[in-house]
Amino acid sequence: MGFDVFLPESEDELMTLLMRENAKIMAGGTDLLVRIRAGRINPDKIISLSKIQGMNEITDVGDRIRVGCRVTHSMALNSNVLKEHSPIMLMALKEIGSPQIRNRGTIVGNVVNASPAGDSLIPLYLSNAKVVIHGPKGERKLPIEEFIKGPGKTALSMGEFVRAVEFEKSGSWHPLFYKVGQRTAMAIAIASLGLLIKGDNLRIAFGSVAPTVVRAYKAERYFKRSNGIITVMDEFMERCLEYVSPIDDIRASAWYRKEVIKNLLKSAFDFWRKKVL
Amino acid sequence: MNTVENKKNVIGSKIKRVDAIPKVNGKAKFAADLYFDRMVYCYLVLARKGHGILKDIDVEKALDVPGVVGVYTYKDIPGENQLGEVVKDMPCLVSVGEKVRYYGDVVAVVAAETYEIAKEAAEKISLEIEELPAVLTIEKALEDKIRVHEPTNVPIHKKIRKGNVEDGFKHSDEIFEGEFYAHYQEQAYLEPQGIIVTPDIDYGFTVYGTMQCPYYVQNSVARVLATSLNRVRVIQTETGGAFGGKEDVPSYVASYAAVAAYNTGRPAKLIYDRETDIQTTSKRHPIKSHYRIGVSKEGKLRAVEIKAYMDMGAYATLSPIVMFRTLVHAAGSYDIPNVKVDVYGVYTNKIPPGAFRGFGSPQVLFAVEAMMDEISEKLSIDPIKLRLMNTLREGSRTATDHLLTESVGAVKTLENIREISNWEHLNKEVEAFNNTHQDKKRGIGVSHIFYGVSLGAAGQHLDASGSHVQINADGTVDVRIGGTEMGQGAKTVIAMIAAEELGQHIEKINVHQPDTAFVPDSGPTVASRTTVYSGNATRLAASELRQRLIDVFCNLTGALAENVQWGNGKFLDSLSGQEISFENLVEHAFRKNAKLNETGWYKTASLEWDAEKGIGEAYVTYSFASQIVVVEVNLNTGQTKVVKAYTSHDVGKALNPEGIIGQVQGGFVQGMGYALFEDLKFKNGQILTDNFNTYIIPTIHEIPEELIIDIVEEPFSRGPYGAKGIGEPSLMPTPAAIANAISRAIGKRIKRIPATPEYILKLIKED
Repeated sequence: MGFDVFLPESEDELMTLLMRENAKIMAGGTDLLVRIRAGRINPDKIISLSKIQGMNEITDVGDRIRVGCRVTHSMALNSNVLKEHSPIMLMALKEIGSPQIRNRGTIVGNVVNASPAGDSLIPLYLSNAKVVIHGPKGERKLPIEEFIKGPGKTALSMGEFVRAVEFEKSGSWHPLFYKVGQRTAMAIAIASLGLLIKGDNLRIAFGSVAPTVVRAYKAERYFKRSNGIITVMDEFMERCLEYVSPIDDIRASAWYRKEVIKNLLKSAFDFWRKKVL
Repeated sequence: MNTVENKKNVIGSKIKRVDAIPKVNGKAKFAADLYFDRMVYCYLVLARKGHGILKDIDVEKALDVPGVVGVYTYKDIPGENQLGEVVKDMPCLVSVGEKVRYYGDVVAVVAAETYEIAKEAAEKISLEIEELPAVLTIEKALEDKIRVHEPTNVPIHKKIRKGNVEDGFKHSDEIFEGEFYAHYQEQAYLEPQGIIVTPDIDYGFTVYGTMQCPYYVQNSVARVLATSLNRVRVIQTETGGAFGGKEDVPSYVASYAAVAAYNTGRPAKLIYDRETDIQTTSKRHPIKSHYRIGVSKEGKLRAVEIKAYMDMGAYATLSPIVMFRTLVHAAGSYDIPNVKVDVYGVYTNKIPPGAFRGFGSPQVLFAVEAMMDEISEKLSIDPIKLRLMNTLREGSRTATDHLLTESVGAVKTLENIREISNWEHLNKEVEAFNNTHQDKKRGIGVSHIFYGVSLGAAGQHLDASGSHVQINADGTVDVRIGGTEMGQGAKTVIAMIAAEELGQHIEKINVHQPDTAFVPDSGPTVASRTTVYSGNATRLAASELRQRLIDVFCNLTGALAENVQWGNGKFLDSLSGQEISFENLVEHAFRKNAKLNETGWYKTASLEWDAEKGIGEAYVTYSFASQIVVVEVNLNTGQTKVVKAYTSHDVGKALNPEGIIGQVQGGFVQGMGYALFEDLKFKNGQILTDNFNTYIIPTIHEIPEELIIDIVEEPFSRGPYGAKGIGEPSLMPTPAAIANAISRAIGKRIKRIPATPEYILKLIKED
């Protein structure tokens, strides 16, 4: 163990440092430092973003919102742009960790960490997020589903970093978000479920029940075809569960995860039916 | 609160913790905060195999790491390679050719110039272990085919035989049966284990560290280093929580560090990281129990038959005495004419559990209270009424046939919770909630417990404590006791007792960290005994000193001794109104060469106990408690939220009511963690949940918004001012009350704790 810490003050400096071997970027460090302590990764260079100017803004860009790579969960929770245009994001952020973790951890960090349990990923998947990547060849954008390749795996190449994430506004959609953890606060999701509903349009995403967060597109199309009225719950459920392939791990069994997703879906649509009627 | 009127000085009044400020501003020194010149840092090498024969220890690569001072194995132990207070079955460091019995067995101690180097070197030591099949469950251990120790995996059996259970069942109208399982619980103290052993010129070795039992540490270090007790001095550092986890374990930690200090000749510091702590230190025992209870149709208990198996892990450590408490508490706080209890201690290739707040009783109190709840449901008897009908009163006999003659507050606590919870209304409220909610259901759980104070018949040879009280020339007072402050408030209550007896202001009294150099072996700080034992010892010493001050006062003023009053920093002749400040009086006493230091020694009369039948006076007295909990279960996820709780405790006399509230709040939350969240998970005998990201304990968000605590007082004539213990009884009713509340909410009986969401959802799904 033991590593050097670099504190670049400009993006250029950051880009140069990123060309070095075995370096890791640190934003809040809430995942990185834990993994280093546990010996799961062993970088010899840590490049901290703490001294870089900017990249800590939440901007309204027309029908989309842009969140810079230094925006912490706490900053996002206090953002009027998000309050107005992405209530689903706020619902998810409130479920993250403790005040200390929310003060350090960042949304982009959550994206790069690529955990299937990342709480802020559900709203990003539901809002068709694009990841803004900056690298030696300039800037490129990838849909989040292409960016996150598997647990802890992303499409980032050598020398690249994530400058921001952009996602659709969803203020006119009805948001629903459920997270099941081992306790109410400071818990990692065992299973989570997010929905955006507007008329006969539905978007639905699951967390912690597959190698990545997943959107249930078939279920979304089924909902559209049914004109937003689910008469046969089983048919809808079947289309959802196609995307659910949980594993047994230290927090819960696959059985429990699946069962919880089924129950939460039923309860979400009971709620929705009552609301629409 | 129903506390009786205050004593004349500070007892019973609201007092700020005497040790609060340094603990808040960071000035208090915990074990890890101590540094010594030329100190080495230690790290342990664990076997990391469940069962096998240690064939070789290869330390070469570790010795090559720059900064390593030495690697010490069994060969480097100057004295006995033996740990453990009760049964001699545990090595300090496993020898080559001997058995490894669990993942956390310690094989070597690395000493280095820094902590990081020590850790790195420890990881480079390779062990050759010829693996044997491991015994990982109680069932497997009972087969007794693969043995953890010879000659048997089931070496300990304790029993109660009272009356005739077969007769009792014959005369019962209904018989209820149930199987229960209570899992491990980790103490999860804030400060991990830590010891520094320093070679010393005056003594041989001085040991500093976080601990509950300095005298155990002293014995263990002397044994391992082959030295005498007057060559080992133990000073307790500020201790950040213990909960039983620092009863016997610091003796082991200190022994490892002592081996390093002995061999290097330098101060050796061994501070556990959380993973080492969870992998190698004691837990609450898992207990499997089977209950059979016979009742009359009116609900009167006629007979109870209990079999309980406890997993002792790889070494017996404190298990034999933990089992005694399991035995005595298994039948609950009830007057039952026919009782048969069998408790078996079973070896497995897993972590050895030991002491944890409650010491083998919450597991069975959960089970017996689940049975009571079942009986109340099936016979349609109000759960409080059922308990009132059967509980212990003055003149009752406990399961061990102990005749109770005083200080039995059981009925009062039951009546008290009925009142403070607004019982009838609470039931209606929950019913109304359930009528209007589909996905969530609420339930009300009741529990009622008793708890034997101090070590009891099984440990009475240790049940005595000393206190040394010294008045200085400036009127300040030093108090030295053998009981430790570990966060529970011992220093505050002892200072209050000294202030009460001497009449001096509490701010002028300094209760010191225990130091074996000053106070004789006072037994362990366990079993909710400190207020009674160290408290009484302090009271004896301080009242003796007061007599001397009264003599001086009478000499000076001509007052009659019986008219002298004390308190608030002065002595007063109530007849003439003449008064002298404490400081002034002490000045006079010093001029007369009066002896202003005194040692108090308190012990209880010996308890009559028949170990063969399990009959007799199990404990000097018992604390009682009753609790009502309202939970809300999410039927979609199986998650449980504790919504409200009401708890009432008979403490004999509340000496420090604020301290009691703190104890009960803490005990409640720890009991709630045990009931709902804390699930120690294993793979092949290795603990997987070895930090708090996976071992889930409650946070402030899990604490119910309404947690109402009340106290009733049924004085114990031999306790200081009537006090009994509260440290452990604060936790005891909670797991049972929560489990019963969940059972009522979902209509299925909770038979396992922790009742995790997954377990609850499975129960809901079962037909």
